Amino acid sequence: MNNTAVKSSQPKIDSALQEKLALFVSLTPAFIITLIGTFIFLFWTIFMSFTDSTLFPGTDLIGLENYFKIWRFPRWQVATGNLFIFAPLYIVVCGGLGVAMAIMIDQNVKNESIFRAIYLYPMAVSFVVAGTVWRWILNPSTGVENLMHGLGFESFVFDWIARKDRAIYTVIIAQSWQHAGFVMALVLAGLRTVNRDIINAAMVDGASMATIYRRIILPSIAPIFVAVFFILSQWALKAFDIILALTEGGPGYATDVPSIFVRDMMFNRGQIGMATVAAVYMLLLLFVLMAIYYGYQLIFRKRVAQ
Amino acid sequence: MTIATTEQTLPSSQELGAMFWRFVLYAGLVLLGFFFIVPLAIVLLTSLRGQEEILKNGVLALPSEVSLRAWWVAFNESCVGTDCRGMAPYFWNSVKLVIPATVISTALGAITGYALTKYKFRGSEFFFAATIFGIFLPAQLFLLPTAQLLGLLSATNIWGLVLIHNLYGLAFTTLFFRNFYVQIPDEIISAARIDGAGFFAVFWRIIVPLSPPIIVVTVIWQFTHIWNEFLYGATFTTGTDLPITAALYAVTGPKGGIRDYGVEAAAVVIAALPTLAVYIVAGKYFVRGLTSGSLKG
Amino acid sequence: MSVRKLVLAALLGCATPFAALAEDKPEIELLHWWDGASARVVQKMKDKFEEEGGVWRDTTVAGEGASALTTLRARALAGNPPGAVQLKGPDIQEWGELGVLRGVDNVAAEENWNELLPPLLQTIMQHDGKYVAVPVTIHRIDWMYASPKALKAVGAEVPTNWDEFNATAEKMAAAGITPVALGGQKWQEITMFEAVAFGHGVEWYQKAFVELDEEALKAPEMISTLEQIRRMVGWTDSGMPGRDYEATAAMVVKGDAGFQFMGDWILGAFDKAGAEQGADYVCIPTPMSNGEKGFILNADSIAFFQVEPKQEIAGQELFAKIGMSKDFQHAFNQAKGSIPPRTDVSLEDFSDCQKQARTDLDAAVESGTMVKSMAHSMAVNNNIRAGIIDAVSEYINSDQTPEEGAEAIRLSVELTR
Repeated sequence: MNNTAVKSSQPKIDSALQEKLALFVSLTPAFIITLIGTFIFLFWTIFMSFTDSTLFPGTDLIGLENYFKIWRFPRWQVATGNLFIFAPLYIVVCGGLGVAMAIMIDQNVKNESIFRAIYLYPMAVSFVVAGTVWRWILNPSTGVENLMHGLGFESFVFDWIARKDRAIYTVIIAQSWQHAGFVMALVLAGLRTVNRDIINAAMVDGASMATIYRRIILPSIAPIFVAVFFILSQWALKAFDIILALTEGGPGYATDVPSIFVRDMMFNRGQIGMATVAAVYMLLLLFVLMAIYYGYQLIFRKRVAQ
Repeated sequence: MTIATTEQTLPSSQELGAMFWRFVLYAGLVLLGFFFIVPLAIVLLTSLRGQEEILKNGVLALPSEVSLRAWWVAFNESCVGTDCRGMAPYFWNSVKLVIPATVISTALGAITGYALTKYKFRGSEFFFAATIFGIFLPAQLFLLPTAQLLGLLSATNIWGLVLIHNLYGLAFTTLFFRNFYVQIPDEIISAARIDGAGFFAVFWRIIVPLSPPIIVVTVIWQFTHIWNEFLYGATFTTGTDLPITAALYAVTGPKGGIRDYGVEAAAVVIAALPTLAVYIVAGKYFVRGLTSGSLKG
Repeated sequence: MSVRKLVLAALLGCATPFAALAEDKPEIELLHWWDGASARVVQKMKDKFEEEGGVWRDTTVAGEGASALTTLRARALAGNPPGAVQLKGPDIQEWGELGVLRGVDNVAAEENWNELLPPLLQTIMQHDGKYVAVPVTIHRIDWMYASPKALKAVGAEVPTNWDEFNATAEKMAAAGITPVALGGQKWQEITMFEAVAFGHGVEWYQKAFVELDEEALKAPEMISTLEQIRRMVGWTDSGMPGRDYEATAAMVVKGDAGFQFMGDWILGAFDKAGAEQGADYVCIPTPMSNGEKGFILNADSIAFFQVEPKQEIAGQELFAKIGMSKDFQHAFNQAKGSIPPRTDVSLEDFSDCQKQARTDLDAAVESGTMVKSMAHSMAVNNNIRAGIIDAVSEYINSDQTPEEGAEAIRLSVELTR
């Protein structure tokens, strides 16, 4: 072939050039995809948020007007407020459950793999599946309440999904169900890396298991907790499908969150300007999270280095 | 700390205490298992029951007799709007979508990860950071430009979704491969290069044969994510092009007609089956993907 | 542009995503949100279209108009709208302004639509003097369905004003019957709200929800409407969340519930469930606080979007022709519970409810008490409507006071200005 002929006559220079060319070719798709799919798209969305676009994208700039106006929507207030109820509780419940499960499984449990598999399988199904099933379970007329009535407990009430002040908690239940196993997997992997000798030594010293966990094991896997915190808070911010399938954002707009607000504004109400503003606010929140995460990592790494 | 090696014989009261705690431990594990398994059990059981029986006994009940009616109806006759061809065509839509999207994004991720680790250049770290930046961003940010891009390409169909999943999947696949290839010693590569192997030859003859573990992880990750994706599927395709998650939402979501819970349950199981099967067959790799995919970045 | 297109297509490794089949049959893709009993009726449309040699593609977005509009907007943004879309009232004008609708004037002229349609519908279906949509139904929103069994159980007559209604509801509640059958979906909630608001004054309704008059939105009628709504919400049952309207209607048929407020498409559902008018349900115009007689109009129409392929243009014209044909309007509306937009279709074999709707409509047009439905996108565009729906749904599902509810509704309108 032509290539080999050229190569054999002038091996050094040409192969270096060829390498460069190959590198260039191999990175071109990723470059184009990242440039368009991430950066140009991001720029376009941010640009739109400064326009008065409605049904179709327009280019009339109106400055920060939408950024202020959005806070007058009671629904947006509820949506952002929900995020601040939902995210911390979900992180605590889901994270707590996951850590507890990991510690329990770490106690030389028989048939460990079966328990692990059962705890983790919800991760494999889609949010729509999870949301649908939990809707049946939580709906008073089809789920637990109805079952208890059928068993003779007529006064049993479990109607959180229908109550404006409680519905957001049902979202936490469903999403924790789906993600707790993941936390368990992460933490368990961490627990297994802890040096057994130290634990054995502490046991011989007469420390109780609880103390050993509190003082030795858990602190040594602190980075994992930070990662779990970051991942869960990200997921909380992005929660969308499961809420749609579970409550459709209702009753009223009691379980609305920014991600649903964006889609509704953009396509249902045809308010592209307002929708992109909401999306940019989501982005800002994410940046705050990332800043916290990387800030922590920086400090943590420094401390380790010292 | 001192290390003592004397054997201790535990008094029996302590032994009893330990047994008690063992019991509590297992009770807790089983209870938790119950919490996680019940939703799956409910859909499975409901999908095996007849419509009259569900209406009479409620959604949460044991089947009085097992029938595969709901499965048949859900797969072949359930209606998305007036289109009553069942979940089958949408199931195949998702298959048609998930295969090219997974294969292409995995291949791209492999070559990008390889180039970024074994041929470092000035700015390769920045290139990598930019590529995986998308991992964190909520999909809502991209709804509008994606709609416009699909319009430009007149691709509001399955191919459009294939494109979308490459746009947003590359970040993950690159991350996976990059983290894997970093661990391959550079010496192997330099040895091959001295022997005259070029960029692609090294990739093909040395890197790819070393890659099966990470390929499995990436394929499983991409497969699960693409199969389960809802927002883009529901927003950008319509009618006969819907992927399975969007069709499932059309069958089980808000609607006017009387609900047939048996059929809805069967539809739920059908939609969940492929990813559950992957999980059961290759759970180890699934977990590996899960942990490495979300940890780094 | 074309470079980007090429690169991306090459990236995908599939440069020809889909090649249109070179067939000359007229083609139509209809995007709509008719489901449940109404979906069976759409089948009639499809059958007729295929009978005439067309190729029918159906795109249903279950739920209600809002979800279908979501799909339409996404597809229009992507430059690929379906050829025919269930679209109504001001939304037709809004899309018309964007220049994406296509007129079917040749069909309209040929078939003489100007002669066949009432003047009001003519203006709704036209943009810029061209017919861009074909009307297929006239629905009445201000219907109340009562259960004769429930009424008999408490020895009450059909109520005609809100005081009577409330007294009867109290009795039903005491007798263990659910007085108000409501499904907890936003569109069902807003339908009931609209009927109740209309029942508090035709002129006020027109000012508040059609003209969006600032003063009317704060008027005492708004407060009394919301007070009435609050009472009625207290009379619903716990099975409400997410319940579809057909299951809700079944409660009325069984006599488990007293009243349901819903448009007349529910007649199709009653019919499907084998319920008998008179024995299982009766239809009565919504109670009116001051004895007025009126009509809330909701006309379904199919709008035509700009499409390129000539088979699809042929499909639109065939669709327009069929949609306005006498046979079709007769069969479609009879089954759907509505009345035909064409004035020359005989209602002889229609139900009593439908016949009464026709009589009441004519009377209301005569006396100027016919209004367009806000809840069903006839009066205001979807942005305003969605805002009002959010506010009303929030009111229904919370413990806001009527004053707070009224302010939320007013604010939702203000924020769209």
